[in-house]
Amino acid sequence: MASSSIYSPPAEPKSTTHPLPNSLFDFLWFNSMACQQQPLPHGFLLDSSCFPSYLFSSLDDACSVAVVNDNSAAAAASFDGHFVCSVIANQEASTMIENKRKSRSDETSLTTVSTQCKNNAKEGKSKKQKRAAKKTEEKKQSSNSDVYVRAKRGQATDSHSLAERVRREKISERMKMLQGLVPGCDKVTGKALMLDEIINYVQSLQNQVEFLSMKIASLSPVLYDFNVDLMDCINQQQKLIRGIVQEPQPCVEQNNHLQSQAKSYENEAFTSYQLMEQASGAPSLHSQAHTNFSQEVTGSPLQVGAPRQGFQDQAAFLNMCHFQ
Amino acid sequence: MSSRRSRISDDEINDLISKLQALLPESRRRTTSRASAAKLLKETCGYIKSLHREVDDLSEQLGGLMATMEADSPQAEIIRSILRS
Repeated sequence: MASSSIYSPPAEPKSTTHPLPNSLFDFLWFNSMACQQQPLPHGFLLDSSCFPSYLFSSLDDACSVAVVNDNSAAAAASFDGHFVCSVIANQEASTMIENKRKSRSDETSLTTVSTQCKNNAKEGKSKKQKRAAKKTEEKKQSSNSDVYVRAKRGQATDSHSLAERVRREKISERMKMLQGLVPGCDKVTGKALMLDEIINYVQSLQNQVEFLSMKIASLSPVLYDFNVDLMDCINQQQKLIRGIVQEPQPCVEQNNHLQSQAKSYENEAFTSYQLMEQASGAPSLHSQAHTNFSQEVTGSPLQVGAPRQGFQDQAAFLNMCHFQ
Repeated sequence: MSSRRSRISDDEINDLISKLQALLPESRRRTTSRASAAKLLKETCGYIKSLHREVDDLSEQLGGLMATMEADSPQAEIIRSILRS
């Protein structure tokens, strides 16, 4: 029907309760409402005259003509009661109409519009459902915990996997922090390798702390907690402490050389301390040294097995000697 | 097939995590309750930072000690070598 005139509204009574729409939007709304309320007779939609003049009053005549000319059945299918779809179809139709001003391939264009609209309808429904599902999932998630999680595209959206993903993200975030702290960790990828590297680093740091505190303890004589009165106790402690110095075997090569040095210095320290205690009791030094020493002991985590235990016992022994 | 998973199994990772837990100076080591990996990693972060601070403190102490000695005594030389490393 290549008529160029605008059809008058059909004689079929539409629902009289609805006012006549005087804009495209109103028409579409009306259409959807009508569809919702009652199953419209097929004829209503099929009839090309269902695009009334008032619908296209705002459009150009050419536009309206173009639409009107087309296959109404296809158009009807496209407007099958889905408002969104009809809006889309309208947009599609308007773009199509623009194109059609140049070429007048009537049926094909509207059928494409209608098929697109059908697809859009299906997609729209499913997308809407998916979006709704996602939103509910997100809302649920955010209401359960105070973590805001957005389910990305292509990821599972049930609450378990969301929680799992949150957990995994926390862990990977902490791993990145550690990567920044531990030198040489950025070349390594993968959790296991990084964990390995981190463990090695922590161990080496602990060794370093132990070594440094040992050095300080050996080099400064006042840090030793000696009992003033019992000389043989002091001698015993000398032997014990020499044993302590020998025991720790960190992997640092400097240590062997330094340990021998430390021993010699300890001898110096002992002799000088004996001289000191003969001169004056200096109990204040004791307490100070005691606290310092105990700080040293507790500061460095004593990890190596039996020798460390021996060290702790000796420290306890020293304390006991101090307090008698 | 899914258990093979790039040569690193879950067991290895759990093993490493428990090793890390053993290193950390936690007070509840007797119970050895498996804390979640995230908490462990956070503790490790804090522990490494505290170790860094401790090393710095001890180095400063050593440096202070060195200031009290004569500059060319062998002790000073040793301390210098330590601080350099």
